[in-house]
Amino acid sequence: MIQVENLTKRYAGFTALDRVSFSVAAGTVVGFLGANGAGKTTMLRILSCFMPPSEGVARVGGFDTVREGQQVRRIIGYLPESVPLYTDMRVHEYLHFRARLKGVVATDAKAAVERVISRCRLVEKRRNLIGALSKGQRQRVGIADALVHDPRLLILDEPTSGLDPDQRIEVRNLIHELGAERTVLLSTHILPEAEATCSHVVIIHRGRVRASAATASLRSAFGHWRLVHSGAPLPDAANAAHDAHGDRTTVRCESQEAGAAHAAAAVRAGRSVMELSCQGQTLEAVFLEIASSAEGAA
Amino acid sequence: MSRVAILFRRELMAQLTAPGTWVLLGLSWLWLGALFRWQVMPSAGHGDLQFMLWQGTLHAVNMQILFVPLITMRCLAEEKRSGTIEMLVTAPLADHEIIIAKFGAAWFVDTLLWCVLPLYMLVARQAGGDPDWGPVLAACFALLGAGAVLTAIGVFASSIATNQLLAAFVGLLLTFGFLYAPRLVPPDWSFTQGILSSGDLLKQVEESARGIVDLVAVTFQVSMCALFLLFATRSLEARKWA
Repeated sequence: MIQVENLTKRYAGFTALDRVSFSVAAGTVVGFLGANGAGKTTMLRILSCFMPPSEGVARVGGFDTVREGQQVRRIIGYLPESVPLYTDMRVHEYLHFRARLKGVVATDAKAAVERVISRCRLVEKRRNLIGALSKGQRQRVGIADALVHDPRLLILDEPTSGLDPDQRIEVRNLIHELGAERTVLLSTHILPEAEATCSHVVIIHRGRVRASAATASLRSAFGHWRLVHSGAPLPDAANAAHDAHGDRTTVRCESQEAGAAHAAAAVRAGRSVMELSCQGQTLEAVFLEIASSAEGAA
Repeated sequence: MSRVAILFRRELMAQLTAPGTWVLLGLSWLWLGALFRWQVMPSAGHGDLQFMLWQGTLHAVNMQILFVPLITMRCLAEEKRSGTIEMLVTAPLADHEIIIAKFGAAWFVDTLLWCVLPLYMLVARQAGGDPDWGPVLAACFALLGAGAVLTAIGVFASSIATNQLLAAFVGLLLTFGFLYAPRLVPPDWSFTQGILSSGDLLKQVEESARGIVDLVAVTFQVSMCALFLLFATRSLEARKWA
């Protein structure tokens, strides 16, 4: 659905994105992760055709974001970070206006508006002025706006930013539901959010992509292996991190190979191996590790 | 309905539901009404409708210098300040479509400012006068043209600012300069004055109010309007090259 190749964006005297490449498969929920100022919003603005890249190519649904911007805009639904809305309009009026602007024909617009109002749980607020809504409700209006023309790709910039915990869970659940039927690319710096929502993640740091993989495999790759065997610790395991508890010992191994070697040694020593498993890292720990190694390399 | 028409309708509704617009419309109708009642009628005599039309047209243009920047100030400055410009550009709307829709709505409201002027001619006719409808139509046409140029200048001013008040101030300076620069040049600067006087919008409007429709003037007004709308479009596109 998205292919980005060697994409660079320079502002006056500052490189926001530096030779970024990644791809997003159709039907996935992808988290675009990075600290504030990492280049997430710039990337999403390029994908939504708000601005062009300085170099490189970005394709959405097979269309070039620079040369075929109008086609790209038709197949995406975009929610900017600040959720800009016309506060002087009522919810249903605004969504109807947006639907028509996005090319939904007049005869279908009313049904499309009703569909997203119901989908985003705005039925009771449909006649309210947008200016009178809470931040969470405005966020849902913004998502309804992004959905109203039934796009193939939903691009959400920090969709849970500034929401209280209840609203955050509500929006997260909505994104989870939407991800079941279309491709979703969302940026966030709240990593537990991405962990709960995204099947894939792209980690960006200082304008460069540092990792791009399925969330589970990334967590495993940065995790450790745990070996549990019976009896006391092995004599040659004195330097390994271990924890003897009762008649069993738990050993932490940095890699699968180290775990297998340690398990073999335990069997040779007459211990019985009870568990050898991968302990995944949290996404937050993975991100911190990637960011610190990038800082070290810089 | 095209996307431009959809945005035009939204812009017009936003303008017409803003209290500020009605304050401006009220003031302009009062201004022209007071002019009609207390200045034009006594000085020109009851029958001199031509003089009434000429005076009213000039007042309508001068009123536009003050009011058009206040109408256009929110067009793009407010969209940029609130971030809604991002929603419009990705809607999908091309930059020139946004400019045309916003210009159209502001021009419509600008026309409402002086639309009472021909009504006064009808009132005068009811009171026994015999207006010459040729000059009346020519004056309306000239006011439409001048309004289009001033509105385009206002939209351009709004496109370069992110603050409504700044947009109004820049718009006021530009419209005032555009209308009065040809008359502020010293007479001995003959070359400069020669160039500027060929684009004297006030003079063009004055002549139209006398019933003279000059094709050169119409071409000038259309060109200036297109030029400032092009500037506004380029200004909106500047985000791409920041």
